[in-house]
Amino acid sequence: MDRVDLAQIQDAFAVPLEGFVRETGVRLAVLINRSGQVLAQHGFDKLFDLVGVASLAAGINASSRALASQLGEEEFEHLHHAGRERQLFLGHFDSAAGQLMLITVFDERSSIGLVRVFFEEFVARLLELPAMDVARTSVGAGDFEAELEESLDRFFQDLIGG
Amino acid sequence: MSLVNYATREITCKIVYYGPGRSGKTTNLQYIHSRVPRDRKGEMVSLATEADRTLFFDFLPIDLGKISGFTTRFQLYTVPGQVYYNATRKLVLQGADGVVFVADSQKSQLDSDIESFSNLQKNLLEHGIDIRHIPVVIQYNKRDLPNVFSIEQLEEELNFRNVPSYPASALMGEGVFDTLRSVAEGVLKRLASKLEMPAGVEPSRS
Repeated sequence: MDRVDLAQIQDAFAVPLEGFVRETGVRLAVLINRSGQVLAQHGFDKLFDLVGVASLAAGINASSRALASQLGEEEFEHLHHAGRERQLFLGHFDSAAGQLMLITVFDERSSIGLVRVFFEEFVARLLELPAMDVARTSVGAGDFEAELEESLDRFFQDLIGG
Repeated sequence: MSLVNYATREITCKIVYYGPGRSGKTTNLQYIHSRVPRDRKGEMVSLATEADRTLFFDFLPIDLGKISGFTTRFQLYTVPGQVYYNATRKLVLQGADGVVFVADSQKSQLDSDIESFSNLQKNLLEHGIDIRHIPVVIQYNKRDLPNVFSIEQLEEELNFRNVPSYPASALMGEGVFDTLRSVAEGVLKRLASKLEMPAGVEPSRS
């Protein structure tokens, strides 16, 4: 398996995600890692707080795994929460980039059955991608460190002085 | 673990505010939230009990601006300080790039501070992290209250690793940004030390 730059992988995440959205008719979909950091998303705009949703879902996932472990299970299956108008599906899977999770929100235009079927397909497509090399970078360490102090000064100056 | 996204040129780091119950972790985040301009922060999420004690975590994303062309974002979390919630505390610590230990300076709280600091080391180890290998900053909070230990006494009890430390009165905002700046610097310097461009790798597009 070839190792490639994260930029290529992140571009590659978008294609299967768009496919999943098209096939299922879900309203929102976001792919996150275990820490809740967003890798790809569809449908989030100013109405929804993407980072808030991602951090809470990561919390649910971490909590669910810990609960499974305490109860002697390796892990629990995917999570599904049904509300009056919207439903939420959280599906996790292991990949070369560690454990990832797909969060998706849908309404009456889709169904949990459809979401589950195409989630499996989505995972299969992602697993065909090459491993990502998080160690690579496009910035020199020296330049980064030189700019660091100045950038932090800029940010904190008003806050501390004000 | 820091996430460096070369496609969108973003760096995202996770900072966890740790410490005993009622030491002021949530207050730190509330003060930061109240002072950071709207365009530099996201929504603050608090998962608390009815009595306003943190149940799972508080979460506040902030944007520190650009460094070497990378938009640098910090995700600030607090853990529940109460001893009872160790399982959830451990979960929040997962993937942390840096830790702020918020100690309560009151004399009556020293045992809780020490117990919590030792709990931090233990929980980090369970995630495979040696506390000596992650940026940690100590904040001695509640300096405005009577019956507090001197900074020297607290340093002796808690700061045997000689990490950066700051006095604070988080409710009034004193020391809050000094602490945040210090941990942000520690985390980004550590990240910079790992940023070595391999030969032949072209800079990614911005």
